[in-house]
Amino acid sequence: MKHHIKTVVSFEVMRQLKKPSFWIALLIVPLLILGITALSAFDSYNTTAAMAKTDLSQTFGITDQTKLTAPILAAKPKDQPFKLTTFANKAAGIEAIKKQKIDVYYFVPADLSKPIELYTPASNGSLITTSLEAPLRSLLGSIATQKIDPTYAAILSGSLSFKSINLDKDGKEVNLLGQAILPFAVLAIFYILISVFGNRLLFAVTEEKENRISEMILTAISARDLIVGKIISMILLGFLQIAVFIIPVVSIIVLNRANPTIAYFLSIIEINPVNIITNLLLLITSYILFASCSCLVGSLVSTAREASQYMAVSVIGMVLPFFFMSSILAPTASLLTYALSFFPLSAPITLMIRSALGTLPLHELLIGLSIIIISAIITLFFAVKSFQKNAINFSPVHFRINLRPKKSWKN
Amino acid sequence: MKQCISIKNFQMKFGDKTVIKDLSFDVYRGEIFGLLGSNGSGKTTTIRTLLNLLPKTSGELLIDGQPYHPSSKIKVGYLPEERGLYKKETVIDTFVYFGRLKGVKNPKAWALKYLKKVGIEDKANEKTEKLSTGQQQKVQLGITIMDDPDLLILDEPTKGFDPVNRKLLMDIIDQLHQKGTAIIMITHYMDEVERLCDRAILLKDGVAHAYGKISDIRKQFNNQTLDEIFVQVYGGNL
Repeated sequence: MKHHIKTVVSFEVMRQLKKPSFWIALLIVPLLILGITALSAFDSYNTTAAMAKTDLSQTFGITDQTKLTAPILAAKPKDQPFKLTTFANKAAGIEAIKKQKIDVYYFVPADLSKPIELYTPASNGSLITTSLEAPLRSLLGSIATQKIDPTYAAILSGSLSFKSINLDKDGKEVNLLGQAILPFAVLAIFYILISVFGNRLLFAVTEEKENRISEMILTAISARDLIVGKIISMILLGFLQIAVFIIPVVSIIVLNRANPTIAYFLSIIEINPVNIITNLLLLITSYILFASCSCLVGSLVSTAREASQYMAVSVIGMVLPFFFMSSILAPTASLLTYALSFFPLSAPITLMIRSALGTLPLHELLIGLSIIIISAIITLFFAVKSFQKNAINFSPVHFRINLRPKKSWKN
Repeated sequence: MKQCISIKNFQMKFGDKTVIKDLSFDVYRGEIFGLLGSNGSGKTTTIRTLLNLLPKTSGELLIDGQPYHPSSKIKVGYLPEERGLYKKETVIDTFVYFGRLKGVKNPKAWALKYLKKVGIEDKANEKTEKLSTGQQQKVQLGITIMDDPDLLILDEPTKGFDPVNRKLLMDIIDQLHQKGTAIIMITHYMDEVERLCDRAILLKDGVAHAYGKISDIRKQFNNQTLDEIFVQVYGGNL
């Protein structure tokens, strides 16, 4: 029996590894991450460079009725932060814009509670002018800081920063965000796994039926060994997917650890072994449950296409918690949260989210985990039975619902 | 002769429909046995139940004295009526996979020898979907016999075979017969039955209409040929 399962696992794993489509599906997520990261870095570099270039080359005009900028405007051009031409009135400034003598014109009203007007020639195509506001904001900010008590400068410049502190029952500081990052990463891996491997599992189970090999193979190996071998191979390939997913992400982080965003990200990560182990346990058991569901559905029908229609129900059940996030994220569990935590299909993601947030009590985790494990065993049992029963059923499945009452009310 | 298959009082129902009412027969080692009947008479169902691919309604179906399981000691080769291959796998990989499942010691070497024998050694590394129907049939046949089976069950083996493959199959049946393999043939070609089979059973309406040596069956029907007997028994029921 072990020899048979080993043979099936080796065959299924090797044939998947030989398929280009497998590698495309396997690498598409990490490649997308790499691509988006590279694109984002390139875009960020280009934008910064372009903005720097624009700031230097553009010509700015101003009419400042507050006279706040007068000292700057009176200074020598080399002491000015950027080239600024002053206009006596708004009409003169607008005229300069119309004739495209300048690129940007600011009209600063005497009353600063009114908006500052920013003019640009339409031919410049400045659809979003936020970046053009920046030079004046910065200039006014620095003037305000000099004029006003620095205590209030941050309030005026709108750069107030907040520090969030979470305390546990003993008043000890808890880094909730940092602790949640890795468990949430495990949740993301689970989501990727079910997205990538859903159809692959269905195809693996229906393949023998689709290709009319069931009868030949089932005289050489029992249905149970065959399906167990297939599930094990899909789990192994799932681990490969996890490795392929993790390696580039970790590489990007390590190679860019000097990047301020990544450095900040790394500085807040806190490893909470309990939460991580809990989510890894949930990941493994949940994936086995998902694989069992796929096998059950695949065993009931005759083609992978047919199976994917029915499998959609399981997938919806699995991702259901995402639609009720506000309830799950609430500090106190509601009835809905309990229902989602203990319903076999929605339990994996709900429990992973709650575990990441630290709102999952141990007894609820144990109940949820037991439900997932028991459901996986029961589903697997029925999947094997169904596979055995339907292995040579080559015709499409029909679920008949008899709406007629069994007994007639008429005598 | 030693008994290889023993079927006693086999009954099979699908819902309300009884396909096999009461069927009993034996197959002995070293003989070629014809399982005959019109379409829908229950031949394939009997074989599938015998191989534990379908659950029986009642009766006793034994191979080598016990219900069949893939882990049974006896080696069974089954070429079913509905047959295919892993489309995306190469010929050699398919042989190696089945060979390992069947416990063949060096499946690759066996496969290469067989492919050479049947004239498609150059297809060893081709995907099976690239093969012609006739070449696929050769591969299916090879997979069925690669563990040198004690019992070979062929369900409509020559269906769709060209004369070359048909001759090849006949030669293989002959070789295995000489080795003492028990062979069950389900076929509609009565000339094949007459030429190859030692004994046969004719199924009709879920029971054995005739059972015994070919010569005895012919005697039972006034020495008509099996073709004539078939037409007489099944009439327009073909």
